[in-house]
Amino acid sequence: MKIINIPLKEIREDFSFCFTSRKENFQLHASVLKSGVRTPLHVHQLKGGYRAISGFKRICIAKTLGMKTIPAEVVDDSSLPDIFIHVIHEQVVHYPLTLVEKARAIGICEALGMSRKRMIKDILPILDLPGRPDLFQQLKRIRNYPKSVQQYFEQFDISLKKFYVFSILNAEALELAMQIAGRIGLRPVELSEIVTLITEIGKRESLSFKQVYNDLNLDPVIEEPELSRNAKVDLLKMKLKERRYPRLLDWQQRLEDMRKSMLLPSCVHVCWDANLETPGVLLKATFRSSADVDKTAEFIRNKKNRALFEKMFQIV
Amino acid sequence: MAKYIHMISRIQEIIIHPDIVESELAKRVLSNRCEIPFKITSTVPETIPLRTGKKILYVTDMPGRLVKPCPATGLPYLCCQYTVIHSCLQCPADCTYCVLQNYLDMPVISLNVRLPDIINEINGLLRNQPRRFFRFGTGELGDSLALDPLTGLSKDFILFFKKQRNAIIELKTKSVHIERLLEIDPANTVVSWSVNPEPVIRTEELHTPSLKMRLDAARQCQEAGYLLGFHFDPILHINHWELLYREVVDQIFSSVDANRVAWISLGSLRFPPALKQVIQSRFPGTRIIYEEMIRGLDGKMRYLKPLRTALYQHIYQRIRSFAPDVFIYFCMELPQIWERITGKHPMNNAELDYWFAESLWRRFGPELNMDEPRLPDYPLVK
Repeated sequence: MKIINIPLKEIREDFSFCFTSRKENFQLHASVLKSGVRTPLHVHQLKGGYRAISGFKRICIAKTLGMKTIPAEVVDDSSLPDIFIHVIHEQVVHYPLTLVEKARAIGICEALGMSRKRMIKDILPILDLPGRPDLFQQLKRIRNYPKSVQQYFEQFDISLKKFYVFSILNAEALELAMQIAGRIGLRPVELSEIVTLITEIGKRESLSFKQVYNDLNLDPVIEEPELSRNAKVDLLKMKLKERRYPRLLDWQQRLEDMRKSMLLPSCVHVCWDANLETPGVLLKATFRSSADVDKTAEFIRNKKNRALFEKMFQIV
Repeated sequence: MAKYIHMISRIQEIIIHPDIVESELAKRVLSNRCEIPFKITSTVPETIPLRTGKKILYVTDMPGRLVKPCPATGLPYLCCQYTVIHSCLQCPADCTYCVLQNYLDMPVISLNVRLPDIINEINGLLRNQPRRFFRFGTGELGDSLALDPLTGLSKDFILFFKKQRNAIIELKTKSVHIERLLEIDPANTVVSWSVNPEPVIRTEELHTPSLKMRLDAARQCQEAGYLLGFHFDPILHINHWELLYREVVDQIFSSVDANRVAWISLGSLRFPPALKQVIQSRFPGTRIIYEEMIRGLDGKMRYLKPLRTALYQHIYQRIRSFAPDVFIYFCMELPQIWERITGKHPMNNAELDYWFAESLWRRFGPELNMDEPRLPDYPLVK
């Protein structure tokens, strides 16, 4: 294969091999301005023109700078998969790809007719993706997501692990999730928690994502002008947790009520494991004087308190 | 349901590693395989879905130790110091809650041909602690009997343990492949079934026999002279659970004699958090993971303690009404829960291990050829 200068106008506006999202690259722009395009692109010859396989940013910059030709290496059909693997490798060397970019790269490999076996052997290690059976299906889902979802994923660099929460949502639920995220400005970790809670409530109660959302009347929380962003997030989570963990919250409330009935001296604090798993209640006493010791002893001896502790032990 | 009578019918392919074609177990599998196609190759599909892998039996020789203490769980939960034989990993059934989905790397069912090494390792353990009564089991990382028509391993183990003074083998299963068991005069063997209400079996224990079939098999084993075990594990918090689990207990004791039941375990649903995603993606229809659960002190997801207590209390009392003397234990539970339900709790895992031996000696000592167990002979297994 030799390197030739091909007229830019003969390169078709076909971005089917482009998998990167980054458009601006000022360093590259400056470099091309100073020294021209030094690294040839890869092109594939078509009838009456060329299709770029790599170098999309270089092409854009060259066009912006009014260049007429660009150096390129023309590759034939049979070597396309090999060249593309090389292109991915080159890209990864320069910067880590986002999950959406990786999904697009795999989509191009599939379009080139590359076998799964070869992708598992040659591509996945470069992209740092696990060769598990459902991977290709998940990546396809990412490729098919609306642009707004892809942009959210790219903005927050959602990893495959974090993507899981979204992967189980249908199109309607995903759209609603993105709306919630956009309206409050949710970060992925917050959105993930909220989406998980809504999904799990829906699964348990046989309701759709939207039904849970409407049923809990979450819209007014999001729209409330008096609330700060963080307060909205907290309130949303609280409403969802009340529905997701009704027994836990009920038991905690009962414990809280019992604690209140105890008329604790100010030097004594009673607490328990929020998950109710660690056995017993924890009694913390701070003694600043012998009066505190007496008050604590009296608190423990008090029959009413003992009865309340007995009730507490039934829960913890 | 009829097609699930025989879990073995799920196997659609046998792969034999070329290095072990001449082993006795490989030859046995090949001679018992009937119509199941086989190939001899060292290439095993590793990236196939588990659903497909569960239909492939890979006969091989796994490296490393094959007889190990049960991995158990962290303190403060109590475990019973069971000893696990790694003869077969994975299972042809497909239970939604199965921890093996996340625990084992290989998607296929792996059968280990190193039976002589297994026997040697067991012998070593028995020689080192001659006064401890060991409970061994093959049903921890797979089903003890699901592949027995192919492997015939049950016979090897029963005949070996028949000769031991300080050990028993538990063949734990959901299957009804007891044909070989009925051909042997048993000793030092407990055949046990994990049980759940029929609606749970239908929706969560895919490709397994019904409760009635399991209990019919249990009855036949009992009539043949075997001791029995039952495992209420995992107990699921489902609608009408009181009624459904009460019915299971009633069915058990209308099928078998409580005096021949060596032990019954109770364990509520628990799983490492990572399993949740696997269950979600493999079984999108199941709801069991959406119950109220907390992350336990060992990191595993569990039902809330008051809920677990209620589940156990109900089942425990029902069992006790039929079987006042049977040994009932809780799998991976808090001492507090033991105390609340039974009025006592073992001090640690070693004492629980001893309690097993004491119960077996008291109830079946002469039959099991046992010496009276002593607590100091039961050290903590790390």
